Amino acid sequence: MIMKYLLLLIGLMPLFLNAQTTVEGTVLNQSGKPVFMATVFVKGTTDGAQTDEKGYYKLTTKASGAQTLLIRGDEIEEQQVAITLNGTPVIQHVKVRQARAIEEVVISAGTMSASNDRAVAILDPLDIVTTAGGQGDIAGAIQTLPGVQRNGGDQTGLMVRGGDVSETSFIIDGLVAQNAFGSSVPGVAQRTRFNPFQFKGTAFSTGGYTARYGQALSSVLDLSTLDLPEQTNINIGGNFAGLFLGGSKLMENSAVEFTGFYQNLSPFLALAKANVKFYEAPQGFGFSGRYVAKTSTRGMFKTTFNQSYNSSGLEIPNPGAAGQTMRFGLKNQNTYVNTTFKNAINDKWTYYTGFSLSNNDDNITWDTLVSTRDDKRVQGRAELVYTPGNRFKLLIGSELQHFEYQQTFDTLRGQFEEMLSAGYVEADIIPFRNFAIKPGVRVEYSKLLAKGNVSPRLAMALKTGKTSQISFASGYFYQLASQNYLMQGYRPDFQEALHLMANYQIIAKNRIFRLEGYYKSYDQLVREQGVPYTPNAFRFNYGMVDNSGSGYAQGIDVFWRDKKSIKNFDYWISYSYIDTKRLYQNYIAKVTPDYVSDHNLNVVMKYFSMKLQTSFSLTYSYASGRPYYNPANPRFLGDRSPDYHNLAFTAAYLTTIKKMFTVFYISLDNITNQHNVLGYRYSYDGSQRYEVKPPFYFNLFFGFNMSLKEFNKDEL
Amino acid sequence: MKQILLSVVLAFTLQANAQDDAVIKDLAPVCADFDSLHTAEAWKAKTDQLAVLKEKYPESWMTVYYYAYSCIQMSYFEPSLAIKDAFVDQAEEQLAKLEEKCPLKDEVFIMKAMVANARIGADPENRWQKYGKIFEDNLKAAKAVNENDPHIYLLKGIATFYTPKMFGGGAKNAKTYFEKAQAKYDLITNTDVDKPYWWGRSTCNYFFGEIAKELGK
Repeated sequence: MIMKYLLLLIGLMPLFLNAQTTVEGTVLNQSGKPVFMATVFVKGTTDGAQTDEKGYYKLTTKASGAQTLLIRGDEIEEQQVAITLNGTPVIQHVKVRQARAIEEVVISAGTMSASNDRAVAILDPLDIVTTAGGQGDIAGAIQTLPGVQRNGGDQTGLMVRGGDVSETSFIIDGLVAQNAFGSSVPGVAQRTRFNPFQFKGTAFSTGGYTARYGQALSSVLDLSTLDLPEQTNINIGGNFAGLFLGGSKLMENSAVEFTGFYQNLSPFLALAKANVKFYEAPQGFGFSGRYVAKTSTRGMFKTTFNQSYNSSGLEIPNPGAAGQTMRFGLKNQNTYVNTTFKNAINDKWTYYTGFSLSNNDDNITWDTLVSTRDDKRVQGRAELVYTPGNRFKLLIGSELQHFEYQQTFDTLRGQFEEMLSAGYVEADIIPFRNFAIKPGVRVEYSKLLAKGNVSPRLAMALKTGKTSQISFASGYFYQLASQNYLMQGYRPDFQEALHLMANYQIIAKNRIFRLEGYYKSYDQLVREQGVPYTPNAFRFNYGMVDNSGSGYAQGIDVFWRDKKSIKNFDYWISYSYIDTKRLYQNYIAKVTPDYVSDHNLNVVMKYFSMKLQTSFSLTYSYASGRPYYNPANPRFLGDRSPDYHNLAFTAAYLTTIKKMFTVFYISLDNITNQHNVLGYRYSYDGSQRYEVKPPFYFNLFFGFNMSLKEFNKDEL
Repeated sequence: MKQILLSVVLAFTLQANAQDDAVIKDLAPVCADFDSLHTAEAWKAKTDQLAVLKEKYPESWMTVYYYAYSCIQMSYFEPSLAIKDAFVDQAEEQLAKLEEKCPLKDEVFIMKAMVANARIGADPENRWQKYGKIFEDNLKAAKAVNENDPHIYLLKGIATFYTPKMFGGGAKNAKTYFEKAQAKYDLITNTDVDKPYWWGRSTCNYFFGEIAKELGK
């Protein structure tokens, strides 16, 4: 009897085994690519599984007989597959239709961004302050990027792809910052007036830039200020050159911020090996206030007020007489107001309005002669953006700028007033998921010249792989003649540049590689006729001025950044080669200008030690020799200065003192005390030669910053 | 007429309750051992089950909630950044439905904070600045709704524990938050899936052990 039951049980075993069936397989899309995180389950049961990154799934079910396998997931069309379950493992591969996401195709030719938001950012904002050799200045960090000339410390501004310092425009929240740098002092580079912590993003264009902007033959540095601060906080800082206090109060949807500073470079100068004698150490003070309000989900209002006063006195090489020095005293006051408002009208339309005002007064003494430079600018901009979907965006905008410059030098006076108006249209079109095109046109009219210009722009990008793309950018760019000419009553036509550039970029897993080639042709550059050449940038006699100048620049820029290979170690290498010649200003032949090095190389390394709570940065910069004027050489600007080398080091120790996040930093520039020579100046008769030196060789800077944030107070 | 209307309302209410009961019945065994799962395989099995339950009960906030939770857990076990992000994307996609359906608004903020924290966890160096604020804001918002929610202090404690000392983190600073979390867990007596305040109790205890190890070094 027992035997009978046993036999019956054995006979029934297959039925029990049939109770569980394993189903496995892959889910692939129409291109044969695996679909990740699709849910596969037997209809009417809770037996199912999700696919992994290879599209593989495996489920076990107690259901039997004819069943339906359901496949669901994001961006896939639901799929049903009939299966039979009888205990035998089933292999079921499924094909589904998947909506293909638009890949991030971003036009990268001519643009290098530093941002928290975009995956394609070349630098993040923190890089700006932590890059050795950048001296905590935006312009300093930008100089480690390809396409930018290494400034030996004797010029104020950014020189990009063959352009001089006047050809780069600084933009803050869409509005021109007229006096982005401290007032220029002959032979001593000035820092920008901005604190890098003000900005959430930096888009640095080395050419072929958007139709939103004009009046820059070479380049635009487009800075976006932060929105609401992260938290209410107070910052106190002190360094070798001054003290500052800042703070922000964050309310529900708005914030108020303030900063104040006092600076005095006496302690810094006492230790630095200065090549320039300061009879009055640079000092100054300033304050700023800011109000930011999030007016709606997409609405943001920002207004900023900055006021600063600075003075300094130094003995500079006499620009008009090599080998001699003269006293140069400067008192400067600068006011800058910037107000913007962005908002959405509806899902498809947004608008932007901006207004800025700046006023800059310089009182200068050249030995006993008194000179003044005053400039004012008022600017307004309005834009409408139409975004009907993620494949099309249309921007329509206009701007109006009124600016005036006045200068006196002893009894000489010069001034001009200009009203510049512009309108522009630009579209971002993604006709295919891996191809983007950006056509644009900008029209400008100068009241001063009673002339206008039309500058078409075109950029495009083609995604060539998951992480790589090719971009092109081109356009015509116009710029008024330098204010030095306009103030003396000359009215030359707009200067013109044509940019053509192609870029190949790979951004993957914290590694970036960029290769960019470009060609620029300059036309209608301003020339001085009928006056002998002098290397004196502060000359007054321009002779006859016309637009007969021209030039070109061509070159290649390479950038490699790797944050991945070594833990906590990040480095980048940028190299630029340029071949450029121009006939402009008082040049007597088409030559490589005296501010251009054919080869520029920067190697930046950063390491963060968690154990030591310290970040270290080391930057090596190299620039090949620059042309200089030797009256004895029949070839105009035919001589080259020695190569430039600089090794800089920065360390920052991070700690918490009494609940205040504190950073102590030290930075050493030119640590090998390299005696760089930036060129030579010759006496009138050519018999004596004098070195053009950077303002400092080795120099040292240190300071601290303490920040009390709300989170330290244990608000939970 | 009034009676008809009342019966219709009652019918809908009963139907909804019946639906909730069914969800709870299916979910309870799946969620019961949440606090004792410590491997990718174990979480993968949970995610599979919850994904199907989410399909079975598309109107329920509970399935969405626990599915998002399991996706976040999966992201912590996954080594690849892209796949980590794909898991967090899945969790994030559930937030809209959770916001619409979940009656426990504090837990909606908790889930948002967890999503932000998972983003940081995937790539801390590059993301703390953006997502740190979102994480903090959501914890504050959760506290404004229900200051007895233990998850607020648990999440803050975990985040503080993994934040370097120099930025105000470390074991000592984190301990305060875990103690607060534990005090709040002591107020919770049930393990109902429709009141998900219970999860994390053993995680809290685990961190007390870790803190003791750190401070004893």
